[in-house]
Amino acid sequence: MARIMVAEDDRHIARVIALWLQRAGHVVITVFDGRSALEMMRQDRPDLLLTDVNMPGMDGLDLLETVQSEGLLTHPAIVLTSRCDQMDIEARAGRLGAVVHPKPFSPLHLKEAVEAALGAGAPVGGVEFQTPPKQQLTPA
Amino acid sequence: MAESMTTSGVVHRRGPAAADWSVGIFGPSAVQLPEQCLRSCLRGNPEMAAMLGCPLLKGLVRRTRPGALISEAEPLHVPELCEKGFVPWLRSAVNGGPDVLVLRPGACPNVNVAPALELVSQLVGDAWRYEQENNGLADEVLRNYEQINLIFDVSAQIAILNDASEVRRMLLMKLRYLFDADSVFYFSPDLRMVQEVSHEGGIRRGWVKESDPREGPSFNAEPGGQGEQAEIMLPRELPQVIERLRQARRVLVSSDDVAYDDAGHGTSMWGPLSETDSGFATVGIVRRNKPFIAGDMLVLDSALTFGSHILSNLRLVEQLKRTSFEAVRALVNAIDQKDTYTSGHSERVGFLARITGEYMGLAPQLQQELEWAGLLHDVGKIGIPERVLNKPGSLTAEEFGIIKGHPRRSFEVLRPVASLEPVLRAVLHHHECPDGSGYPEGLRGDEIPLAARIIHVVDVFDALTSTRSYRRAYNVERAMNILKQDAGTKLDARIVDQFIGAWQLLPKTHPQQYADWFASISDIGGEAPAPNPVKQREQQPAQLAAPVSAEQYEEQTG
Repeated sequence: MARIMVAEDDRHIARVIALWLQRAGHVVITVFDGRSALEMMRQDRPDLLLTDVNMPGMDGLDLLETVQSEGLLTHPAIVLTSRCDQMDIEARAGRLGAVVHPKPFSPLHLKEAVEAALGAGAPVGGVEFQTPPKQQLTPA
Repeated sequence: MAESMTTSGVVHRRGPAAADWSVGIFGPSAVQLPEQCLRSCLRGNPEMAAMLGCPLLKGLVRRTRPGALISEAEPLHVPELCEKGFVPWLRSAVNGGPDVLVLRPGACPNVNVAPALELVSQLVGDAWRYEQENNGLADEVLRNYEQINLIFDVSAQIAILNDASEVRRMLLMKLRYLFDADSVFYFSPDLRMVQEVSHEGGIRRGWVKESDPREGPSFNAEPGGQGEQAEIMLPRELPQVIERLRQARRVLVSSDDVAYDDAGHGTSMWGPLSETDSGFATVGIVRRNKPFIAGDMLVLDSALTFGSHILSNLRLVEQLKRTSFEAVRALVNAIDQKDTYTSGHSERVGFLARITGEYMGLAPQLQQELEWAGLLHDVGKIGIPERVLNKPGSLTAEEFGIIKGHPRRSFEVLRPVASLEPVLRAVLHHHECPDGSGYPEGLRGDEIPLAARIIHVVDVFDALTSTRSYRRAYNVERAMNILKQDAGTKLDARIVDQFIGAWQLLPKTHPQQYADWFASISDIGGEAPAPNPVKQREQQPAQLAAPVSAEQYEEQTG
């Protein structure tokens, strides 16, 4: 069980993600914009950040940059974005040690990504580009 | 202010004036009601306080009948509460919803709690129902997301798959993953072949022994699997399931707790995968420990429908390809007839080029191109006068010059056909030699396209083993010796090796063509060269080995 912050401005999607992660046994804190997410990250120090990219006020990547620079991440963050933007987002999010998932997300893949992120250590930001895990046809 | 009664959860109080009242919501389903949802349902009733997850109250659950209202007239004896001076009023839940408890301090006996209790019960019941409904909708959304992703994934990968068996394999793997299945079965439309994807993602194949599978599931391991007899355990309900699918043609779940094998139990879900115009293949998903629900059936149904469309499109494309190939073959045979001695030559060269490419482990697309190139390599001969083509003696320099013009002429004839673009270079250069002595451009070694080098070798072989106007046919042994002699100078040595390897397997791999075209020429002896160095390096079973592009082949063997 982990405490996961979900930052997503579409309340319905946030609700569905929260429900899905709760069923996997996690405690979910939901916020609907980047600034609230930042405040809650500072206050609450959740174990994992799962954020949308396009949000009012502060977008997901700015949020990610800030929390990364403040050292608030204990595990690699997960970024959700529309399929069309995925390629553009991947480079920047990758530099921040985050993995990118397309929306609409696959519940199974998201659950695996959360477990993988929780199993990994704190992300190394700034230099390395981490290729996000491609979906595998042949499970290892 | 009264002492908080909770050790966990949230306690709200309505302020100092009415501090002693509490409302508790509890029961097995209470935990499913998020606090936010309760607050919004109690909005407008600020005097009501919601108390969630109070451990003290959990003991009350179901001490009374569902829907019952407990009041002072019919007191509920809860010593823990009475000791604290409370009189409990309980509205027990209906239909699995949470119970609502109002605690009135014993010091205020004259207040009638019943109307307030009824109201709160109703509000909480509504909130609970909405929550249930939301959960159901969320389930639906999650399932739809998974389905959409399946379709995105499959369509993204379909672009690189032009082989029906690859599409099928991917679909089965995907289904295994999607349902977290213990096994995914596939039965070919004629019910003769079975594939099983295990929980770990391995694929096994087997052939049905009996012609009628209803006689009982009895399967052979894949032939050539190093003699290993891998038994594929089949669900026992298989014959009935297939019969039901034949009638209904839609996804069905077999009856609960069907025996799966001796080791355990499982439920299974089955659906049809249309592969031919009339028949359908059967796909089965077996899962232990977790039964299938209606949503699973929907997912399987959409996956199989999608897969069926892809497979039927591939089949149509395949039919079109075959039709155009056969049309061209007919024309080329007509051209070959012009030269009395080369009847069937182009068709055989196309065939030998393809099986050489197959033996080398080249990608199916390249094998196809080799066949086309072989079939078309001599179309330029159409412009050569018959007196030159069929001349019994040796050719004059001028006549030989005319003959040498045929690769370029073939190239010019085919150039306007856009779809033949990939085979043009193979056609143009099929008389080039590694030592630079060939024509039309005198290319050397690796400058000559791989396909052209292959066509050259098999072209020479077929010419040697055919009767020509100037000599009788050589037998295979003599022809092979000439190929070996010329290897490295006139012919690419590695291709000669690979061709000999492919030739030696020919009676086994293509018995029909062997019997029709080559059985009359005796076989050669000797050791076969190492088959396909690329495949060996991959260390994979042959049917799963990745196909090799021309560049990769050069890189890995050169």
